[in-house]
Amino acid sequence: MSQNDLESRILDLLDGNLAAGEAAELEALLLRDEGARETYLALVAIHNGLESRFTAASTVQQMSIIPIDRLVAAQQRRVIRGSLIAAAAILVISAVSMWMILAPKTPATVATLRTTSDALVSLSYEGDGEAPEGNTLVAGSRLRLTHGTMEGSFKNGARLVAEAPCDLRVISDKEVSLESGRAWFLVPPEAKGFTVDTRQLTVVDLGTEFGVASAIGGSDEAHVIKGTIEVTARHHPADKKLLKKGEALRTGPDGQLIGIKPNPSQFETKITETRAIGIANHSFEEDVIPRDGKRATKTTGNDDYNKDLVPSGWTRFDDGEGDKSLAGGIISTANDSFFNQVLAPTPDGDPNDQTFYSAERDLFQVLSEKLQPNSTYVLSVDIGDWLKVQGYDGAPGNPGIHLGTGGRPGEALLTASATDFPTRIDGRWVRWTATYQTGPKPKAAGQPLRVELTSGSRMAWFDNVCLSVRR
Amino acid sequence: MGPKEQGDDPRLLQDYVKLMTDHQWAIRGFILSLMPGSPDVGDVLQETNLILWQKRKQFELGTNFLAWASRIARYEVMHHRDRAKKHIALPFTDELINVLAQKAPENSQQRILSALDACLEKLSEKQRELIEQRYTPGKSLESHANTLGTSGGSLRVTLHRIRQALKRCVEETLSENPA
Repeated sequence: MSQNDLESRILDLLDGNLAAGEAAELEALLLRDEGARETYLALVAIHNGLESRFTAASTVQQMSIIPIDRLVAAQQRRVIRGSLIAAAAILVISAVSMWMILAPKTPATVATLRTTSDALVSLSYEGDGEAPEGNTLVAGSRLRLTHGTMEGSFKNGARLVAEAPCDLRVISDKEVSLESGRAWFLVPPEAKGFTVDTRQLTVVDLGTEFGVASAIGGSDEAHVIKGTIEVTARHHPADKKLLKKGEALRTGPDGQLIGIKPNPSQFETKITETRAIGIANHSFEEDVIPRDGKRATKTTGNDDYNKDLVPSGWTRFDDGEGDKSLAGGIISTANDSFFNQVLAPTPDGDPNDQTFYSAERDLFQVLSEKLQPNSTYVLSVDIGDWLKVQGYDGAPGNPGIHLGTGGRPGEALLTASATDFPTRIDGRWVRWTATYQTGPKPKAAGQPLRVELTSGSRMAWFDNVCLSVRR
Repeated sequence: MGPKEQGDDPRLLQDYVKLMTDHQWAIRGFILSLMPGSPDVGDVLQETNLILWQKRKQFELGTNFLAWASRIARYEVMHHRDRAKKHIALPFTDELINVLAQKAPENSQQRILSALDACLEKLSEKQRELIEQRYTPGKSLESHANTLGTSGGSLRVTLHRIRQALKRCVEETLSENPA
């Protein structure tokens, strides 16, 4: 490829105009040719400079908006369990003045929010005006529900109910964007036209009750419970369907619409009070290790975790899947740790966060709570992974989160009725959720519940182990 | 979650805010290099700023802020990429992102901008107008093409040549005026 062709392709790429095949060729060239990369970075600098000079000239004051409420949410999530984050403001770091500016005007409330008492929710506002107070939603509000259930009641009469995990934005009084998760919508005639966007679907209400599900890295679904909706594939605008009561569809691999068997029961239609079940030392913060910026004191070789520390409240065991290392311990993000570099930031976004690191070191905890009939248990855990490292025995074992009964680890495990295990990402954290349902006469009724965390034969990190029950 | 945060020292806070603001364009350029053609560069920059703000107490003033910020920005780009996989055309693969990220941005953005300003001055009025049409929000090459009675494709070719010329001009200016 000539230098001129290379530069032309790079500019097409920067303009978003490069065809897929050409992009693949360019990517291969950039991977193998350092000179091509230098050309690429030089043109990126020109492009960035031009955007800085022209595009940003009219918006330079707004270029670096940090929503302070999201910071508060990240730092105080566990503190505010059971309540909403009311505070919300925006911090504008101006490239010109460097001063914080609070915008003066409060936008109009379009909905109110309520949650179950165990809800773990961050409510943020990303608009231009002053942040709304309390549990009110405005255009620009964003809800991230990591535990529990929430209900939004719009002023136009529309209602939504969403279960954790769910990430949802309020676009206007007639439109929401479901970034991920499941939500049920009831739209009265006066709010007809209410729209739900997902990554792959646009769902327009035509007077109805429906559910929408969106999975990161998976397909999106729409299920009609009553009435009619119009569904459009966002990547194929001509692919548009009217769905009636009892009909459902999902998106295929290319984003096209595919009819499926409806499953309306997956959507909660009211907020059901759930109760958090206590787990001792659920976020591994109790055994405070030195936060002196150095590596942990109890280390050997290049280890940078407290190898000998079994977290308070937990018991170590070996699940048999890889047992050559049995290494693990507490890591504090406050200290100089290689692992901190690999896995930062942690889910709490807290500079002094502690997490549990495990390479074939498995933990369990027997709870005081007993297994009850006709109950739904939800276990959720943050899991971090460094997938580049193979297991010590060479096997690609996976981590696991389990709920069981009795005091013997590995035994009497309950079978999950539903799981939401996002694909693990190297050097990143994901939150895994498993749901367990009991019938009228469960075999282990009355037995104490037991939570297990297993790393498989790879390294895994654990944090924020939460369990709730609803009946 | 760890112990309660201590209060921010106003002077350190001011220094940190200055670092963040002074390096905004460099961080943006780094993000842009990892997700070219994406309309979400601004969103990722915002997410990066969020993390930078959260981690402000971990940063030691006097050390390389840009290297530190670019490491965080890289995580945010990859996070965004994973979230957006099904939503938009795939940006670079992890492998290429890692290769590109090995070269941390240099703290020369202001010099590049100054050189770019000087080079923009050398453009003809028509050339500069075309650049403005491409980069000013609300304007488009297509409408400009209609106004001029030419095709969008023709203007895009001309725009490519102007930017290639700007690249050469900036490189020459920087080599003539080393830091």
